[in-house]
Amino acid sequence: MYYTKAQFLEVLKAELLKRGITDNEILEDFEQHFEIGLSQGLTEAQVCEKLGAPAEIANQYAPEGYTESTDTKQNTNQTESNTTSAQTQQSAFAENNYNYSNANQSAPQNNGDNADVAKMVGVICLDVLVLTWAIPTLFSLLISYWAVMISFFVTPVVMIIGIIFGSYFFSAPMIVSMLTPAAGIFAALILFGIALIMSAFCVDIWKGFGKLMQAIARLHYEAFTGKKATF
Amino acid sequence: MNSQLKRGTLELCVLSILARRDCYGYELVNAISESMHITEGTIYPLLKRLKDDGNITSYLVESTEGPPRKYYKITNNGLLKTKELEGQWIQFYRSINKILGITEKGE
Repeated sequence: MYYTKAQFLEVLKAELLKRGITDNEILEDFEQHFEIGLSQGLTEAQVCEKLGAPAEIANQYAPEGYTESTDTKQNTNQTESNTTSAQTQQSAFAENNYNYSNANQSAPQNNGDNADVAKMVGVICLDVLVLTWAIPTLFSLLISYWAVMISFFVTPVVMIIGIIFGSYFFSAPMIVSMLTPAAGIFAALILFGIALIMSAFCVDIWKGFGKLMQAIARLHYEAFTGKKATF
Repeated sequence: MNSQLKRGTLELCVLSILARRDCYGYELVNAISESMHITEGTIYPLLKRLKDDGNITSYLVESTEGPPRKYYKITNNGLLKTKELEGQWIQFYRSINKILGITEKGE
């Protein structure tokens, strides 16, 4: 039984060496495991106990079929796994370096419980400096788009009613009285055409705004809870 | 639970969790030991094997406390492997249940 982190790691290292494995990354993984376990209030002895016997763990790193007692096999395995582990170590190292810079650029895709203070500050700054004016502006633009579209639908109808029935029982828009009836109908058709074109986009614009709001909500949720938003 | 019975399915459990989200080793251990008892040390050799076989990759993420954490991410290969193992598992437990005389709901 092993009671301390140092003891455990030392024995594990020795057991791995017996099997011809010299991969430092393995020990780093276990060191990290201890770090997190200890930070969660476990004792070194508890973490050791949960991890199990180092010899057993080392066996599982060894090539298939290997057991500690087979001495003859060990020697052949030793040379073999020496080269392979050196190779994998090298490639793993290169890969790690590559991914490391990636991870710094993109947000970590973890689902952990570590809400990041820097992220929170960033989100608050975004709220104060950008969203306070950007969202009301965008929203009023959206409303005015709908208002213009609706008025472009209504105006031609009123114009044509005015042209057909005159202004006896309908007070037609002033523009009707300034145009000949043919020009009036033509103008009404133009307005109606514009309204149709606008209506083609009105739903998409509305949905786009909704998606933007959702994205902002998600950003806030993730920054403040540290969990991945599911909405 | 019988440890040999567990060993074969642990791979599927790990892949299946990673198919849903990226995890670091300790997180995986926690997620699995919520449902069943495992010898925690076995997870790291398994992760290394999966990585060497190209089913998962790893990347480091800076942590606010302590050293950077190594996260594991499933690859497209790994996703295919997960589906394959999942199918095998479902078929396996169905046939065992049939032999044991345990009938599933809806059958």
